[in-house]
Amino acid sequence: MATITLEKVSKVYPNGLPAVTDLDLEVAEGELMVLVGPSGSGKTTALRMVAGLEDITSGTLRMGGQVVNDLPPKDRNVAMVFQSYALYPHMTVAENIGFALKLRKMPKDQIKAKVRDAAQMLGLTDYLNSKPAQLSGGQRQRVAMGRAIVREPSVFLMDEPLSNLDAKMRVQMRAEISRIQRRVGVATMYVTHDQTEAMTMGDRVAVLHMGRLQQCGTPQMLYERPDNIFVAAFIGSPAMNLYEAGISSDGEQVVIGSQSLALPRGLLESRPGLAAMKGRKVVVGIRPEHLSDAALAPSPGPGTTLYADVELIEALGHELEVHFLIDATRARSEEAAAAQETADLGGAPALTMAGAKSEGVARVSPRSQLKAGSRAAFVVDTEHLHFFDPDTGAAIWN
Amino acid sequence: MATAPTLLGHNQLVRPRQPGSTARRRNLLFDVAGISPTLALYGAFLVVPTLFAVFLSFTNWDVIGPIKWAGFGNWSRFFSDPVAHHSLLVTFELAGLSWLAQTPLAMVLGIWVAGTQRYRAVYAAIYLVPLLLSTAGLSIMWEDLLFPQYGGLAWLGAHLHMAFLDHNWLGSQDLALFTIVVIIAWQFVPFHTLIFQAGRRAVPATLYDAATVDGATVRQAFWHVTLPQLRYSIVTSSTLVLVGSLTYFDIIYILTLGGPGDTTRVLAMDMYNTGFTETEFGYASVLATVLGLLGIAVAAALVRWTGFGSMEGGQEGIW
Repeated sequence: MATITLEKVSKVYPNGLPAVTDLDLEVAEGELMVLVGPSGSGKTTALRMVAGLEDITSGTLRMGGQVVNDLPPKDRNVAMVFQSYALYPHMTVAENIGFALKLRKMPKDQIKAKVRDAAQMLGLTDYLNSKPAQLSGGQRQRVAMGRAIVREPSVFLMDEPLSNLDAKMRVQMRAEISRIQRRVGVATMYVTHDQTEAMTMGDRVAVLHMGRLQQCGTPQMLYERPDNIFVAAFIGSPAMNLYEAGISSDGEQVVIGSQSLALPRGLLESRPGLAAMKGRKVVVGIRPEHLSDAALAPSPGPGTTLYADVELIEALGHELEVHFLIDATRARSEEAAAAQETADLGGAPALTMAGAKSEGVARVSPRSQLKAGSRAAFVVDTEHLHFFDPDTGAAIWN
Repeated sequence: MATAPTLLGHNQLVRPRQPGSTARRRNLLFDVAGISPTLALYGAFLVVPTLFAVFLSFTNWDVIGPIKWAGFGNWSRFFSDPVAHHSLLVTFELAGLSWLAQTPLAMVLGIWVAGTQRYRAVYAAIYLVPLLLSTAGLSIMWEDLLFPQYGGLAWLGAHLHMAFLDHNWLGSQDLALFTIVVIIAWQFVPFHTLIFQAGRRAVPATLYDAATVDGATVRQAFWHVTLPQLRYSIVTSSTLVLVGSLTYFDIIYILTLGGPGDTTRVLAMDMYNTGFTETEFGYASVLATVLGLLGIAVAAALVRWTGFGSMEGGQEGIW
């Protein structure tokens, strides 16, 4: 049992490419910390540095208070689950699970007992004598888990363990991994590029981009109070609608394209930083669920409505996802684009139409009568608007 | 319903076949036509000569005269022929020594060359040169190198004050077979290195990561990951070394003619002498048949014992 502490940990590859820069992170005992980010964000490199598979260029890595920068992997007592599972193909399930114990020269009968216990916990008892090739993807995943937990590691590392499974299996294993992790109760770092996985599994989530930590917090906190455009765009599915906008000179309205929304007093009070943005450009963010069909609203207040052309409606049963085109310019920060690319895999490609129409998504009630091709009025929950500095990408709060 | 005509004969393979139906006959015709070129070549250059040799082994023939039926005469001669038995022994020695000389060395080199540093590729390219040389050419080159007193090795020995280099390498009863083994290894190790290099490169890097995290040292990773993963490379290479050595002939013919005495006279050499020097094609065919059977037996045994044929396990577990 140990906490994992990274202090200003950096990795620069021999060719001069920085993979991770000044990463500060602390994973408490029993905590499941998810590292999430698009490919190339440095999350796997960070994990491999903790495992000892990658040298740390600078900074300090501690486990249970002890500096382990130069400790070889075998002395760190970490267990790791790999994306490809990395099961030894020539060994049986039992041999795979017991391999680390065998290397430690544990007596055979003890290994057998431990392997049996792990197999029981994972439902692999009937497969102990099978080779990995004879197992299904989910079973291989369980063997990889078994191999990790049987050693009673002080740190548990997982590198995209679910990405090779089909969607249904992924949901099932997601719950199973969470259950096992809680039961084993050790500090766990879990790498994924899938924000849904991050949100559902993480006690806390660390969002990485270009080798730098963007924000670290509980899933709810990242969702409700993203620190910057990247986190705002990356967390949440469908992704936050981000448009270039301006704050009116009196500071009471936000202008999006040719339309404007009134800024409620509560919002201005909770975000004093907005006062300094009077007459200046901002990026405004609207979560899809904060847009609703005006036709269903009893009496929308003044300055809470946005008009847009409905392009496509996806009926999900419990709600409708309304894809629309709005007369505004989509925030085109490089970061938002990178986040969109990974976060919103299912979404339509961002089109910039003539006349600066930008797309967006609203999640509305299934009772809505909106039709593709029609003009829609959306009521905006203006209390929940997000604002970002267009130059730095940082959220505007204080 | 009538069967719609198709342009591609293949399409008919997926249809349920009815015994004796026209479709089936047409399929068979198509199949036979498809494999006939290969079958013809295989027959003309392998099956027919092999069967002819087996047939000749039951006859006496000196090429000029008529072929005379000899029954099991040649075969009973083989079983009581001390010369052939000695040749068989030398053949086994050559095969065993070649395996010892080539396989472990090729494996070590192959694993080393499979590394990622650029200079290794350059080295490997130079190293492969023996593969490009003709056997006759390299035999003559080695003959010059090993010539006592005047050869390259003797010269080197004299200049480096290493007198042991000046030996009658090919003329000594004690050394000739080992010298031949070394020359054969020099010629073929690069090829087997390629096999092991490819085998090593096919081992996923994550297996080593997993082993490292599991606490394996470099040596343990070699024993528990590399070696088992190279199993099929080892079988392939060993089969080629062993079966190849059984019929090895040309270097020996050029360098020693089986001598000195009978120390390097392998069965293939014996066969050649019996056939082309003594023109006893019947008995030479017995030796040829024995060699063929030995080769098949060795290959079959290796494949069977190592499970190579079923190819279970492999790397399917990775993905």
